[in-house]
Amino acid sequence: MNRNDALDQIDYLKTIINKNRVTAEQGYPYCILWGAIWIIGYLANIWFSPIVWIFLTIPGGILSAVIGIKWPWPPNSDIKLLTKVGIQAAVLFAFLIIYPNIIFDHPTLVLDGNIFYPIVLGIIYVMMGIMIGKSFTILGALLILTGTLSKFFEGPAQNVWLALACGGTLFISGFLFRKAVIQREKRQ
Amino acid sequence: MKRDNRESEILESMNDIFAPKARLGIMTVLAKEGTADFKQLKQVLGLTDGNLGAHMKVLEKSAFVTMEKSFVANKPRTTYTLTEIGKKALMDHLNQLSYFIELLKEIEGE
Repeated sequence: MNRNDALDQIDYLKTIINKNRVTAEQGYPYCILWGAIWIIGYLANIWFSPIVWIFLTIPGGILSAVIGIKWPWPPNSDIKLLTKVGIQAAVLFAFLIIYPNIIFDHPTLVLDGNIFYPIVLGIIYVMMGIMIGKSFTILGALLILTGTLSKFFEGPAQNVWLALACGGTLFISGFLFRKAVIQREKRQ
Repeated sequence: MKRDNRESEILESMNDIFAPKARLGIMTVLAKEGTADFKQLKQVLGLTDGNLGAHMKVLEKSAFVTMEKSFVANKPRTTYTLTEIGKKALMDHLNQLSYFIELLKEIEGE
């Protein structure tokens, strides 16, 4: 093997690694879906009881599973790892919601559910970001920040803030991630 | 002079089976996945049927991979698995490449 062959091989390996690299941005369909659900849910919750969330989160969960199975994921993305990360996040999310209800006499945290969910999801995204990329860490931090700031609002104003700031952050991030994925595909 | 010797030593000890870079790609994917089917390898590496088939034959002959044919939902499926010999050959080759990178860094640093 000569010098150029070796250099060519190093370059080729770099290309393969980049093509197969799991990126947080590949999860953009979920950000768009759940961002929309949050916007609708928080705004609807101004006029309707919290039961409205059941009508949004159950179809949202089903749609998420359908996206996971049917979405034309890039052939080179590491779907196995993404699925594992997604399942871990879902289990952690369910645990954080159920656990306070079991441990405490009254579900203290869940009572303030409006703020609770964006913060919990934010924490999960920060953790996921450690594994799959800093964009999810930034998104998680933004959700924690916007969720915490909602404490300064009360009543319908809080719902509007959560819809626009938290739901909006998730929704817009989804589109930004999509743009990043398309740009990366073009570069390859 | 000494560096030239080192460079040719490294280059000579690289496995010629991996000279076509597609084979290195195939082995890298198999090392990561353990087992991969023909379609998957074709998609990941962007190779044609004929090209991939020819490379797989060479790798099989060298005992670097094993092939298994099966039927899934009445469709033929060919899967490949990396052997221990293949794994060792790949690791040796990658080690040589990393020595080569180190050498290049040394040259750049001067």
